[in-house]
Amino acid sequence: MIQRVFWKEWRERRILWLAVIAAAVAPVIFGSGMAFSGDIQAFSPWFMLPAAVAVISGIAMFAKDGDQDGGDFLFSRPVRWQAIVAAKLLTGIAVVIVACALAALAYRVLAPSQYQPFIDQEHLSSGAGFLWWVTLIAFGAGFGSSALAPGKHASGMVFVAFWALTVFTVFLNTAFREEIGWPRQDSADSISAACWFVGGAVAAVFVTRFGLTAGFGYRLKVYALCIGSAFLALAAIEGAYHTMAANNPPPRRLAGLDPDGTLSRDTFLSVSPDGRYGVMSAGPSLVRIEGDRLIAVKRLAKSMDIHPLRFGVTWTADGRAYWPQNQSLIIANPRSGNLVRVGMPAEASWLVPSPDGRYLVYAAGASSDDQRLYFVDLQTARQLKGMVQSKSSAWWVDRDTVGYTDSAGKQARVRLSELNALPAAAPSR
Amino acid sequence: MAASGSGRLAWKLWRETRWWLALLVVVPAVGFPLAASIPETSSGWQILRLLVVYPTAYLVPALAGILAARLAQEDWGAGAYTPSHLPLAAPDVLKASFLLPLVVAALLGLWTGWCSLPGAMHHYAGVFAYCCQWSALTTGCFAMGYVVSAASTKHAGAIYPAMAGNIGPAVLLAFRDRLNHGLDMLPSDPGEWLLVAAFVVAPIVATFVWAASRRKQRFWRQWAAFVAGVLALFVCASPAVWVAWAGGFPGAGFPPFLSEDGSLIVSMTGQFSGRAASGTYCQFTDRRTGVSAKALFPLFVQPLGFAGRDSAVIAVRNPGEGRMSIRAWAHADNTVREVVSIPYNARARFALGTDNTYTGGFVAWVNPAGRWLLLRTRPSNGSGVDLWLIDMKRGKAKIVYPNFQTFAASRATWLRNRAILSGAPPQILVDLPGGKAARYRPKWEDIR
Repeated sequence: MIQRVFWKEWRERRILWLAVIAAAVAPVIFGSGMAFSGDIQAFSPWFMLPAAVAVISGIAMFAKDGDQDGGDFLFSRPVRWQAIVAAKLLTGIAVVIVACALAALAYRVLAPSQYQPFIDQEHLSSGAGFLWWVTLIAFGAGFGSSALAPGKHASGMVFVAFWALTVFTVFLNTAFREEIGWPRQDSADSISAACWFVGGAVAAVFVTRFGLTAGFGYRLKVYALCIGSAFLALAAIEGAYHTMAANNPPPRRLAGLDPDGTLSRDTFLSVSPDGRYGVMSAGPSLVRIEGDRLIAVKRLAKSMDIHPLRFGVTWTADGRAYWPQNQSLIIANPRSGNLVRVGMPAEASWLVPSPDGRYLVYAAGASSDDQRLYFVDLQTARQLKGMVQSKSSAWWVDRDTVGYTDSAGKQARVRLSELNALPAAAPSR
Repeated sequence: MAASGSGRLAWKLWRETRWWLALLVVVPAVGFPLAASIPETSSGWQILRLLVVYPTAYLVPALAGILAARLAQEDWGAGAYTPSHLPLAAPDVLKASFLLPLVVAALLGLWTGWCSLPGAMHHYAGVFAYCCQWSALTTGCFAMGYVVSAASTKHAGAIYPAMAGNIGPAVLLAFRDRLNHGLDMLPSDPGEWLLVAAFVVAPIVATFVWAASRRKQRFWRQWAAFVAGVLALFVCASPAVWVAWAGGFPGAGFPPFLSEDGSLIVSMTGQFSGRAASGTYCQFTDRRTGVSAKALFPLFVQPLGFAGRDSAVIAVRNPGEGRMSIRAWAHADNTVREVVSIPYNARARFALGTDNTYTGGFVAWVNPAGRWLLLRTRPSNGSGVDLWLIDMKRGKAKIVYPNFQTFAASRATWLRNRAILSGAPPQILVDLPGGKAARYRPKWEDIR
């Protein structure tokens, strides 16, 4: 009889199952989606495609069996509830596995020639594993939402409601943790959010056992009980973990380093042109580079937040590093460990170093055609007196002459030694 | 039409939907400027801005689809009032409740696109393409809502356009941001847009097939609808559609590209696109001497960097081509030399990781001697970026680090036979003569 239950699941949902497989394989065939080479670990929007179809497949699990007539008919056959659950879950899991394996196979066969040297067993299996994990979670979430109310549409609404509640729970969890003074943990947010769906999946199994033909009120109680238990179990586990972690604090390690002391993937390091010095976000610190070792020269203040999205570090030819931060220009010399701040307007932009790295020109102004150009001597770490009005970005003509467009729209030049004098004549064409 | 049955129906429609129309006209005009006035100084403000922008953008296509589903239900549903009380023929109904509102939906889409544009736009061709895409999204959602509801007589008609209307604004708003920064969005955005089209077209086709094969067995109807939907998806994603799209709108170009000291500048001066040919005129100026060189390139151009004091390195590509050419443009004698040609997949852009400094999909570094070029570009297949090593002297190119996830600009440090890409994760060490690259993982030691 169990074979017939499996056959029933296949017959009722084969279009959806095939859609799951197609959704996993199609992005690979079209050449624009998931890859199984390289070091992609992050989320890809293409995962949404198989995940979305897997959610729909999961939601459809009890679409027919969960109503009064379907349930009565199903249990009028000589079939055990375990067979029904197994047929639904195992078919779904098997389809997801097949989909991921076929996606990996398609990539192995169809990947462009330039990727072939990078495709190996490890990359294929890790890529397929990640795809499997995402799709399986999606299927499980759909399954967990499917047994509360009969019919596809009602189950879809349950899924949407659970999804909304997960988002709400994340915010609530964050606020609660702050209230009781526990540290913020992204994993805890995810787990607390997942309780809705994990509890729902367990409830779906219980409903199959005890209430497939029961009314909505009874099922709601089962769901509430299971989801509540999931949250209680989570709170108990996390409380125990927190107590244990408080009693056994891990050895202190510089944030941004892996356990073996090497730079973690997300640590930012900017290297000097000669490859001998660097500025890194871990610490943050100025470092000397000796082979595969980074030796700290100076630890910077914690407020010195080195991050390329906010402050790009630039190096001069003679080995100074500079970057803008909080209305100042930070000039660092890793050789000596010196660090100097030079005041700079908040709207400063377009920092351009001179060819020899001695000076820096930057623009500040209300709009792109109404700029004031200021000059900084990077060697002495001082802003020069005087500035010029410009209608464009500036450029370096030679080591101490800057070209710009004056307020009349004509090209002009200014020598840094003559900053307080009138600008030099326009260049000859 | 005023004296005909369709004219009366149009009047009835106007009476019933005028407040909705007023809402759809007012909300974009208020919502987008309101969102633009919200500062982005903290994550709280950013969330607030998103909360204003997204519903504003979502409202027009989604409501157009839902209204269309309602109209179709009224026109073709079993308990319809119109056929029993008004002396109307089917063509009149179609004209008044489908064709006329379709035009209105198109205009509403154009209006929404126009309202969502930021204050200063640099590329008029891009603005036109952008507004047309909003119009196509809104019209598509309306058509989908109507057709799906008419064919299936279910509320499914309202669900599909709501879905497409959900995805469309996200794509288009991202498109707008790139447009505003003057980036070369065309190689990528048709791919994104076609994904939306796939969501719009596939259910329509499947529904038609489902409805047309109603005398067949359920099994065959299911399969026919499924295959039709897959075929529609395939057509939407096909290169032929993309080529037609790219030929229709010229590239939006690139912002002026400057050397590190600001003295050299490559800029776009004009573009043309047609059936016979397309191209982009570029200008290479040395601001120290004021002398410019001009040249005509294929439609898609992206400057990559400068090799020494006299040569610019650029990437060019014709619409629809699967390869991208790397060229060196010498300023002194105004000659262009093809260095190498590498594979390029325009459709891979959809899944690319965020990169604030992404310049039209490319980040490149040329070593001071002009011998080596490291190029970070979208992958042929994948979700990250590929790192190419190009030997400018020998004209050889090779991927040295495929498909890695990054989100910021790196800086290349050129050593004797090695280059270190640093500043953004992951740090990569490139062996230049060996053509290999690996994660750079130095060990940290505290102050001695």
